[in-house]
Amino acid sequence: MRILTAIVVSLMMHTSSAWAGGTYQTPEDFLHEVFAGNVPAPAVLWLTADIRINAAKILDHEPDQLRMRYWQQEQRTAWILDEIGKDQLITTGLVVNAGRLERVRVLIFRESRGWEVRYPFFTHQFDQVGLTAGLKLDGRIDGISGATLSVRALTNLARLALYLHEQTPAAQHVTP
Amino acid sequence: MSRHRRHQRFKLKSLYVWHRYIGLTAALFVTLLSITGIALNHTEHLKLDGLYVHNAWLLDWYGIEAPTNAQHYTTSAGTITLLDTQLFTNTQALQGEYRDLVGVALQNNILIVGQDDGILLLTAQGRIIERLGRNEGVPQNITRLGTSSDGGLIIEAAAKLFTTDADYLVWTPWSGESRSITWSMPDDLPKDELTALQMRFRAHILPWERIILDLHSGRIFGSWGPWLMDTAAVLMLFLAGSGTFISWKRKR
Repeated sequence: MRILTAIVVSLMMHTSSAWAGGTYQTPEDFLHEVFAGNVPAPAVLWLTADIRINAAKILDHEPDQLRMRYWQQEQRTAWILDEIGKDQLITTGLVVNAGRLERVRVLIFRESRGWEVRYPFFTHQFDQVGLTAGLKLDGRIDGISGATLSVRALTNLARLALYLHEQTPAAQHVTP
Repeated sequence: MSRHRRHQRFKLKSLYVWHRYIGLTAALFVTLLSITGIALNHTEHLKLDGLYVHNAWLLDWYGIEAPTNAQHYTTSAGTITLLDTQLFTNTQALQGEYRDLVGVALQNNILIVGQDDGILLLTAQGRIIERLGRNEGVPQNITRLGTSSDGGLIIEAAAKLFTTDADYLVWTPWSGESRSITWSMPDDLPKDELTALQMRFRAHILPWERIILDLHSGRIFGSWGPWLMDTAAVLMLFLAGSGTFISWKRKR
């Protein structure tokens, strides 16, 4: 049923608009929303050799930066990550809470196709999804016809955020 | 043998000769189209979009020229040069596109490259540590980059001065004495280094996928190329027809 809904919505959107890319929410606004206006100071995670190897396995390419910025509040971390869909970067905001995805939102979409991944019918599939030992998502994510590369990019970013979260102090944080 | 049958045999023989010569001509195009077609079907596996042409003749054929003006900065850890939108650390090209540089500084073995809309942090070996922009809280419209007398990084953005912490995470207004700042200034790039970078610049423009596509469509031969390929297609259609006709006649 979810697949059917995805196909119908996808077809409707294909016919309704040729391109709907752009900035849907600024990263700044996303962080304000996530932390209810009280955005913590940013922290950085250096991608050591081990982390880089696993990040490369997740992304199918080497990460292009040596460190990643994140925002932590107790056991929650927020990440603003970029990944190329086909040719352009997709900027995505991801929140991980106690090792599970709490929120995934496409913030800036620059590709000419595949923008359907911004809609909640797709991003809500990531809610409460975690990471297996094999660095895969432990929940099923249905694709969208015509947006295969964007779906792959977002799925990889979700895996990456979950993996990076495990490398931060938030993963060891115990709520009193 | 009647005269009519002799005439028909002569026409069939004539068609066979045409079929043979046109077949030989078309073989060249069939080979070209087959090889390029197979390559295009497997572009991703062959990574043709990530492999770039280095051949000077091909680059000249495509009219790819390197820019003559460069922005060049020298630090004790090496040089930073911007050619058009391509940034080089020493002679190594960095991934991505870059805009006008406003200055370069070296702190704790980290190269800090200023652009009008952000800061690029690099290792001395030219690896990207992090790209800092508006989303990372970097003030926009940066016009200058320098260091204060105590070694702190200073940027001038929208006529105001800002500094940052040791990890370049938070940017705050700076209220020190502006005369104590040493602003980064560009240097002249020696001609031989410019030539070497121009060669590297050109070698990062044209992917092999473009060449194969243009060979397949004929566009590599200029505006007449597609017509040439159209002619080849007509020849192949002729071969299909003549081959079928000759085969049918022989069976009779």
